Amino acid sequence: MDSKISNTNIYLCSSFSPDGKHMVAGNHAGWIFVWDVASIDDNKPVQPSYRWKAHEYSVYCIKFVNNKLISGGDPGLKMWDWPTILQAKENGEDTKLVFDEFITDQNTLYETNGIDIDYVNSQLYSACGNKLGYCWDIETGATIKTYEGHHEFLTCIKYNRNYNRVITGSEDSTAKIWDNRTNDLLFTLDCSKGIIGNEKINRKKSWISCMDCDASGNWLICGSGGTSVYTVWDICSPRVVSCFPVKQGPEDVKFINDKILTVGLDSITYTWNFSGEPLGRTVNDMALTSLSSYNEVYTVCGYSNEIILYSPYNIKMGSFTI
Amino acid sequence: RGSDSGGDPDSKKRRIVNQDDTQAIKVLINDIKSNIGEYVAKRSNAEMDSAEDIYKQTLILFVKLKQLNRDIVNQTSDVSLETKHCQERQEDDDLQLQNYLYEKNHYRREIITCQKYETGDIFEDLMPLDEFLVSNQNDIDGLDEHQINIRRLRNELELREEMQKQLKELNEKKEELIDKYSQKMKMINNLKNELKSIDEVSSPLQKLFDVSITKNQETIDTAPYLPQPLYILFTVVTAYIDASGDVNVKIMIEGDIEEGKRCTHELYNNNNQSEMTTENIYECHPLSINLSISQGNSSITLNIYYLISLGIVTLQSDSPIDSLIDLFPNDSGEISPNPASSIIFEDENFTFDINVRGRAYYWLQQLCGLQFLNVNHQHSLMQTDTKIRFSVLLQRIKERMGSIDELNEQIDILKKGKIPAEISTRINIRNFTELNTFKEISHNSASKITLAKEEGELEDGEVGAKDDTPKIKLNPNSRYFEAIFRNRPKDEFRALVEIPPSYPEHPPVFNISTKVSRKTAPKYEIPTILKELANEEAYKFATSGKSELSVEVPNLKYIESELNTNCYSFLGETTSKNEILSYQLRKLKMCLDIHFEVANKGVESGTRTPQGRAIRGRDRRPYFDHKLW
Repeated sequence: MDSKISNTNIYLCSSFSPDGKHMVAGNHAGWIFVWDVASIDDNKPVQPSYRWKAHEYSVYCIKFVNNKLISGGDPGLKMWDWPTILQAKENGEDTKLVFDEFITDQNTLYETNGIDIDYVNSQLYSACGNKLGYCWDIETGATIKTYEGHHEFLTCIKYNRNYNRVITGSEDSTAKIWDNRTNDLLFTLDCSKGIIGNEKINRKKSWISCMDCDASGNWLICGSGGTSVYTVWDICSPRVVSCFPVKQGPEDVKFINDKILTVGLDSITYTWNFSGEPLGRTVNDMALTSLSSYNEVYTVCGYSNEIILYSPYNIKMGSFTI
Repeated sequence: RGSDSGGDPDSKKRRIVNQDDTQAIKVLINDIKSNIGEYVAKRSNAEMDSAEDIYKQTLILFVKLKQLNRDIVNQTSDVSLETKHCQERQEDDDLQLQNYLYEKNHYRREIITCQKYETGDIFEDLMPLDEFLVSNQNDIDGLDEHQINIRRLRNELELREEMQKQLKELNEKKEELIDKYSQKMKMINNLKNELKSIDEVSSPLQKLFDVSITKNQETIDTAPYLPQPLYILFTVVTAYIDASGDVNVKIMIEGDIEEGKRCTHELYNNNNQSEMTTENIYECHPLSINLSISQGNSSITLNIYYLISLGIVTLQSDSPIDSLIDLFPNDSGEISPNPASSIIFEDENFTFDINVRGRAYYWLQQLCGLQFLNVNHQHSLMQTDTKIRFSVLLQRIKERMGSIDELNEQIDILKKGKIPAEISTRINIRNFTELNTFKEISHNSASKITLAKEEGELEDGEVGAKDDTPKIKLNPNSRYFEAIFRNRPKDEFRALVEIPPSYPEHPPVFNISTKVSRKTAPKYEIPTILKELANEEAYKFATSGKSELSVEVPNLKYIESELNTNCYSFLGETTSKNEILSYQLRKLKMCLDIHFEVANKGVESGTRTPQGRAIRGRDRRPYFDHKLW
């Protein structure tokens, strides 16, 4: 990548490696970068230790499972071998990395917008641009289930182990809760209005941009673009419990311990408690698209070259850059 | 009365007539009368014989009378002649008398004038008496003072007259000479034009014989006085010109020849090394090379100097924009290529003022035979063993000139609001925006634009972000332009275009921002149900702020990225790289059209790809990639 025009870099997804030693992020041009967290320094941004072009257009979601790195992008859903990547990092070569792909006839041309992983059963859930949600077997790469019913492309998907449910969010401004065993659609949530809606929803400029389930599996938070609101649902009933309005553009949300962290296009990182009270705001100088956390620290990244690492008390510890 | 002989020869013989004669005449007459009477009487009486006698007597009396008469007449005429003569003499005398009187008067007047005449100091003006006496010794002997003075005056007069004559002559000569001289001057002044016209007229002939008369000889004569690097450059270029016959390249030597001789001599004595000091670092050799390269209608002139103190060769070009920057990658000519300078000035990348003597390009040093071991810069040129050939360099320069010409042409068209490029699409992109202005801006204005991002207000409990640094580093050698696109609700999309000096090898870089007018600013309203659930403080914060969004508009970043990275791919095979600017702007307009439509209608936008989708991905990006159009 030409460093001259790297001011147009946009990170779309980020994640810590399971051991917390590495930071991985994917950008709008399809590149995935790897950084050493240990080299974080207050003064100087950390350069990537490795990078490669994973997808043709963009990388939308990225997650680790066992020793693999799964990236969903435009197009394709690929699985990379993590140790090989670390090896390549050591050698510093530009090796062509081998990947496995989760692919069917239907989804070849479509992008994968969100993924989630069932670690116990080793299954992968993906939200696809062809209005379908998929469940894959990680070992074999075969499709186990598809979730059909949205009117527009899916933006995110979440697996809820507690209730064995799958929740999908879509451009059509609804989130649907599916029963994982029977594959039935249980509920359709209109997140822009906070009600359980009908099938036909007036989807005027509102779409689900992000979702997260908390550790216990009882709560679901959805971000609605357009109305710029996060709604927290009690998955069991389901009903809206609280609401978090933001200035603009919800992009990513995470339950971290007993707090909720949200980031968005207004470049503000909000910290909330479960009842909707804002606990703090951190203003950055770039619009944010992704949030990832490891233990107590978290990173935010978005429309710039930098991924900023924050300590639990919102103190900037350093940054990763291209 | 006396008789005067007069002129009559018989006069001596004449008898003097007197009173008696008069009496005699009277008697005669009476006798005649009586005789006549008698005759008549006798005739009447028929006394012929007596009549005859009377007749004869009377005849005799007549004769006597005649004689007497003759005498009288003669005497009268004598006297009258005499009188006449006397009269004549008298007149002559009278005349003479008059003359003498006149003359006397004249002299009297003259005398009075002379007596009145103030001689004054006239004798002072004359040649001094001694001199005169010396020079005219012979003539003067025995003359009195008066005569001497007269002589002196006369002499003086003569001398002066002669001198005046000489003066006149000399003046005339002088006039002549002046005339001659001015004519010659005119001729010489015209000579230059005549020679020029001769040169012009004979130029076809010159071309035929491949000989050019005028300037080359002088240049070649001066060449040996050039300092060594410039000399090498000179030989390389002239060799190229001779070998290739390229008429578009001309080389000349400029500067003071004498100074140059002296300076080169000094350098030679110091073994071509000059001590590098921190003072007077721009001291340059008096001779410089003037290289002009033309292509089509445009040409550039390069002045090449050798900076003695820094030991480098610099180049100054005449075009207002330094068009030879980055001819090879990373070569702006601002850093001194000579590593020695970094030691003296204690600065790793010693930069000097390029406005004094121009820029020091690496390729220029190489052409001049200056090989520097490059310690700090990772420069591809200096590290390879291949020498740059002048023909290759010339090719690059000409390409660069052509690129700049085409670039300026495009800019001229763009300034009028038209985009001279078309991109064909399969999908229907409706026209919402149009190019409103395209103008060049100064670096100052450019830096102000990039700081446009607004920050949110900080409230209690918030931690502010780090200090805002300008997002874009300004390249001092690039040109910056501002393109403003407008659509009907008067939203403004502003693109800051940076055109690097190495256009089009490096494409223009775009930086896009927008100002949304009040009409289209989306209003975010939280539904009533959720409003009740929302924390009041959070709700207030969320809904506060202006309706004009100054936060990031995601699509613009994608458009930027498209324009900056994939630019050459939408050029097509037949279009030259030089037109990249226009194509980028056309693409920008089309992307803005798509963006505007999608921003307002979302998924239901009319602009759909052949797959039927308007937006794609979690980030809801429209199809800015032209491959999908």
